[in-house]
Amino acid sequence: MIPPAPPLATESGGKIALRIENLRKSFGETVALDGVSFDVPLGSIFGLLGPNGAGKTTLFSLAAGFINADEGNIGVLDTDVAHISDLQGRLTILPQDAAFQKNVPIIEQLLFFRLLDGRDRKTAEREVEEALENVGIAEYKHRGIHALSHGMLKRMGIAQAFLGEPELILLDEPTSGLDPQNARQIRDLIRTMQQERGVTTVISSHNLGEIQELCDHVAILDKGRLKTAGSVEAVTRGGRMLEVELRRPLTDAERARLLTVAGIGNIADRGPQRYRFEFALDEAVSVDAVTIAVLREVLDLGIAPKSVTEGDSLEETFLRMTGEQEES
Amino acid sequence: MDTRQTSLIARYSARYSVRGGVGLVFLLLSLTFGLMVAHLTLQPVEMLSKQVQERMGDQDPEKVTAEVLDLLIEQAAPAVSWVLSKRETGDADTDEAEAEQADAWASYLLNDRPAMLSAIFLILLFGWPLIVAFGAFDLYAGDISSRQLRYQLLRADRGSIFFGRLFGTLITFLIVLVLLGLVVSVYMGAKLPLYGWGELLSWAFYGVTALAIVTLPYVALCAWISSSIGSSFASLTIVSLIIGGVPLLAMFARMTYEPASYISYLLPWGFQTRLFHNEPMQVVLACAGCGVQTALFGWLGYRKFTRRDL
Repeated sequence: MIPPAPPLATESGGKIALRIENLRKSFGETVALDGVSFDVPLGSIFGLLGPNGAGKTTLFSLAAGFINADEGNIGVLDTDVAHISDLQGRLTILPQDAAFQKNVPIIEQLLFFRLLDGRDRKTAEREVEEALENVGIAEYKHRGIHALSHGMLKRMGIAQAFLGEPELILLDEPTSGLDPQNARQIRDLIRTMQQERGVTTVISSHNLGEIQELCDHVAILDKGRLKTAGSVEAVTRGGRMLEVELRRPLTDAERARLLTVAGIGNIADRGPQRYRFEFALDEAVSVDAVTIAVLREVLDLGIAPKSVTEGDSLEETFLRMTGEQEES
Repeated sequence: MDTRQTSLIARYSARYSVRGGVGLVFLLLSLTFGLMVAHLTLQPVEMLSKQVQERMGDQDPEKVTAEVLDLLIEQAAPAVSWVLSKRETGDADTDEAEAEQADAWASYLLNDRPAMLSAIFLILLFGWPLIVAFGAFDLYAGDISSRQLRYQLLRADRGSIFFGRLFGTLITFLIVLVLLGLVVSVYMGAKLPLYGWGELLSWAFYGVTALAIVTLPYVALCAWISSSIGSSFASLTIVSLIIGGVPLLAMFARMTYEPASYISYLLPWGFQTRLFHNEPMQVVLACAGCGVQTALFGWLGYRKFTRRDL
């Protein structure tokens, strides 16, 4: 066992739960990850985005110690990934391609995991019951996995990931295949875990709306390379623009009047009634002041805004960074 | 390696192995194989006894069977001795000594021990390694990159998982072997009531122990192959080809080059029958051979499992 490393710190000084440094992994000729580096802050909900084949699942497998990196380092909760089993339930994962054992009752399988973590049987039983309750499949606990639908199996995987007192959870597409109600339940559960227990969660998903709603930090991967990583605000250029959807289009005069608002550099059309206000900030004008001034001016024009978004949507950022927008 | 985790994994693996399809198939296959061997071995004695009884009229059936068995043993002894002996070395003195040793060994198995049970165990010993392949080919293969293994990897170190599953499989095999020994002994005792139950069960216990010892290197070999290959089908194919191929290769190779028969020593095939030898030293050497091969294959499997992508 390696001696515990000093707590890792982000550039901004906060502790980090997962540190990825210059990670490289190839499968034969295919380069799955090519020099990827980023940090996942402790206590954050971190979204990992990327098109199919971007390397998200490979990154999860590397971070969980399933596969070995060709180059680079991974630090998980102050522990080198080579000694990941020392974490004993502090790190859990919902892998995309793992399944449970057939013909073994659900409760027995989950109990086995907690016993491996070093829990006594009584505590383990209580934790398993709680985890199954949380994902709504407690009534199936004595059945085998054959009794579960695809969505229920997914929920069982999530129950496994939420089992006990994890500090870092890696969820590879946790809501794919779930109905909207169950997907919502899982999102709520992730949020609760963060707020009540300070659990760090890393989620990969193709549902960008879900990531934007849930995550405070994101990383975007494309073809094995890191495109960007950071807080959602920084990645979506929040603080540098405001996107407003109105109930009717602006006239030229109205547009000219809005351009006079201090801190507004340009107004770009984003749709028939949708406008992007690009900020030209100086030290005298704050983001909040410009936002308030723009909205006040819009209301003074007698137009009610339908929606207001600071920065790009995550979807736009994602498409811009992965080049899909140009292709389409 | 963590002893607590290894023990947990071994118990879990043994407990649920039969509940999985492959475990059940293995159990049924083993018992069917054992009963088939017992039936085919006893059938000639039964048939011959029946024929003699029909000719002799009102003779005591048990006495007739005993006489028929004695006759069969007498006839079979040279053949058994030939099977157990090492082949000609070219040196007359050595060959003679070998022949004498083989005669004593055959006599021990046929006269000093329940002969038919000896025959059954020797035949079982030849088929058992292939049965082992069916029971242990998926120790890790098939589970690699999928299934429960990935949930276990975060919770237990790879060494504990490797040895836990290995020990779990060995526990399952031991249970199956005990059942096999019991079923075969009871079947034989009921069909051929010539031996006392004490004599029969004690020799069956010895036979089961010998089979258990010879199981170790074959399971370790399966563990090595299975940890090197992701596909369970490929693992089964390769394990079966190696276990079945080594004695065949040795047999055919020695036709052109006599020392090539030593190929069979790559696996316990070359010495496993010596576990039933009349000389304790030969038994000890055979046990040591099994131990060395178990350690070698086990180490190779452990090395692979702890270093590869899972």
